[in-house]
Amino acid sequence: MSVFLLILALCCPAMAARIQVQVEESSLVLGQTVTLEVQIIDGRVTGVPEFPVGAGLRARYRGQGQTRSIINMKTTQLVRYSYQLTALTEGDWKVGPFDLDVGGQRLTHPPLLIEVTAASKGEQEQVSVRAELSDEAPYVGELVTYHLAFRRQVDAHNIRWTPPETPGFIVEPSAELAQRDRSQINNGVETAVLDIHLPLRATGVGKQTISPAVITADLPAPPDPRTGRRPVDVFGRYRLRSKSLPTTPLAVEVRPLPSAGRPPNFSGLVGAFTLELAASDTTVVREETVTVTVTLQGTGVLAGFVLPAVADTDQYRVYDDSPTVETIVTEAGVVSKAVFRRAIVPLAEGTMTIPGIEIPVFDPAQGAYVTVASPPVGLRVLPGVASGDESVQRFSTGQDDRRRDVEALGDDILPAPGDITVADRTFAGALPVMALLPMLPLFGFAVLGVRAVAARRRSDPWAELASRAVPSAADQRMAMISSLFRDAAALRIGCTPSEIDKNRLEPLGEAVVALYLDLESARYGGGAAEGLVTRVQAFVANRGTI
Amino acid sequence: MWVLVSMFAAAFAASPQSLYVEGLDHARAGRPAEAADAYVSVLEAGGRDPAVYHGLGNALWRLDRQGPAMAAWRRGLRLEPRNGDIAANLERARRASRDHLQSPAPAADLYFWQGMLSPRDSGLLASLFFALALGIPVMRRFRRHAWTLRWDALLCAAVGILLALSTRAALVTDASVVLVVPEVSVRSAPGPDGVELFVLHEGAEVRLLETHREHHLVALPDARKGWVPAETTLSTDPSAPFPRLALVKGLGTP
Repeated sequence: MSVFLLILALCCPAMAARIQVQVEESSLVLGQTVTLEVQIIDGRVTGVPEFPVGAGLRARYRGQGQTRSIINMKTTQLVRYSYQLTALTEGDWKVGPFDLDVGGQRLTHPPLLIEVTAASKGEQEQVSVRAELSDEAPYVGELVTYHLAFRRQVDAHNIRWTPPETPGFIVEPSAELAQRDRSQINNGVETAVLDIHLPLRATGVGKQTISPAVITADLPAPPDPRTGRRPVDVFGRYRLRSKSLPTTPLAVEVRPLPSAGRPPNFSGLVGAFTLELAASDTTVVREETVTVTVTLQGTGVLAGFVLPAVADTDQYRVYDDSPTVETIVTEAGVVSKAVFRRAIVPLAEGTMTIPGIEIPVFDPAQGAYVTVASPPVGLRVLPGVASGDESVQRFSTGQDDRRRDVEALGDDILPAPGDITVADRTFAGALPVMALLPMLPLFGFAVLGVRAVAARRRSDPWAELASRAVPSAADQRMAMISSLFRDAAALRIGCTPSEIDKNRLEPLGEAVVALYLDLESARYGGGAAEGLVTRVQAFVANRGTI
Repeated sequence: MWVLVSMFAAAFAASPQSLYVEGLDHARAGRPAEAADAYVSVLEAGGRDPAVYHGLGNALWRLDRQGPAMAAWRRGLRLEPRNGDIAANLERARRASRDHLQSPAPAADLYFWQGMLSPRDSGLLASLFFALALGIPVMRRFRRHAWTLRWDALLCAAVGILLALSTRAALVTDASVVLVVPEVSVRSAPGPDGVELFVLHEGAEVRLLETHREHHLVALPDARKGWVPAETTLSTDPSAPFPRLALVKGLGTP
């Protein structure tokens, strides 16, 4: 049922402020998460409203919002506080009562009844979550692993987990949480498993309860009871539903470390450890360095552990380097490894012995204090002339670089340059150049334009005809204007000058034919020549028309 | 006659180059006052070169004139933003300032390249790109089928416009001044009637917003604003005159 149930209570009808409480569904399946809203109408509370929640439920505050609406000229303010309500245990549980101080008024709302039922068997088989602790009776200081396994036989998306509350334990900061996906096949059915290993260090003695961790994932919605098939969306994919799966709470008893048999130099380490010691060389020149590597490995916390100090003697000096500590969480548990480097500088020739190391620890498996120890290291020291300080410096820096930083004795300003040519390098000084640069292409444009005009003029045949000079001698002038007329007429008609005759000229008009006849008459028949030059020139100037 | 006299005087006047060399000689001989005087003469003769402002700032620093020295270096840096020596000197002077102010930011984040280019550089580049944008069509008259030239003109024009805009932004928005007096009260209004808001000391670099009645409205990097007398400041604009009064310690105090 996905409808919103509205439970409305008008607590103080005479007063303006009211409380409303809404829950998405009042009947939940184990692990289901729904939204619960506390709404304050026309009022305000200080802080986030708090209310009691049944042990089988968990409410987590998600945020708040505010709306303001005007209805019939009346303004209503609504402040919504949202919570995520998760069903953790089967049974009937109460949420509330809600007893809030709203602007100085005390408003109450009756509790909501939430019913939590178990998931169907088929659903339980398909999805399950289980948590366990590597040691249910650890000693204080012992490192244990909280293991959560999320098994599913259906696709799960957007998987996230809420860690449990761990009173009496702290999450070990030197080790990272380990998470691994795997799959296994049981009775021919493939099951995907998500394993989460959380390292915890026991800190509080006594009985403790680790609260449920919750896995939340988007899972396919359960099959429709009528059809027996899972609902799908328009693309044919299974519809997903967010589901929260809580683990069962874990009861643990943290035991104190026994006082009996506790060594006075107890290191504080709790776990099973091994100690190894190795020298880089067993033969060394006097005042040279030999490096002793101490490796301490085990199931406890080693972060912050310091090796027992070794005092300098007349025979040698000892310099400790910073250790490297590594902690790994595996399926088998937590494994820590610390590597210490210790530089030994022998001061006397001959045979010498570096004493072994003893570290008293508490072994939870044996339930007793034990001492892990390494054997002493024997060294043969040869005569030498090297300086001890330099050797140690090489050891600490790891390189043979004896240079020193340049020592600064003073500070002064930098001088002005001498080999420069002084010029006005301001923006204003460069303005003429800035203006001239774009002019250069414009000049090119102008040259191109002139060239184009000249070319056009050269290629215009009418201009060429018009530019022909008229001779002063009468016979030559007559021949020239006759030729000019023919050329112009031929150009106009589109034929050769020799093809020009009266018939061809008729389309150009009677005036042109008349000019033609007058020219023929003047040239061959002795007709009057007056005015012919002007008429022909006008004919040419008008591009073959009169 | 007057023209002849002027031409004669101009012909025999010392060139900016020789004046600069003279200033360098004074500076190397440990005469910062004479060096500063020579450098100002170079500026007055039109030699507004970053090296001149560099030398002038150095000479003023030797004269214990922190404010004017910083103003000179700021001017030099505006002419040549990539000059590391001037930047180092200016940074050293900033460390010696009494007022811990954030160093002035570049003209505009949008025009990030302006942090490396002076307005002159970017202006010349803008002009060059405009010339290319106009010149490419001329080239196409000779190489009609060169497809690379089709978009190049537009691209050059776009780059030219961007550079022109950034140049304008650098010229308009980078107006700032440096305090050149030991201490000055910044007031809420020009003149003594304004409420005293805070106090600035020599070497404080502030943005110039407005000038009114011989007073500057200045802004601090943290957006605080106020009015100071104009004679207590020196502009960082390299084109502005560099007053000889700034060479004399103690003058300019309100």
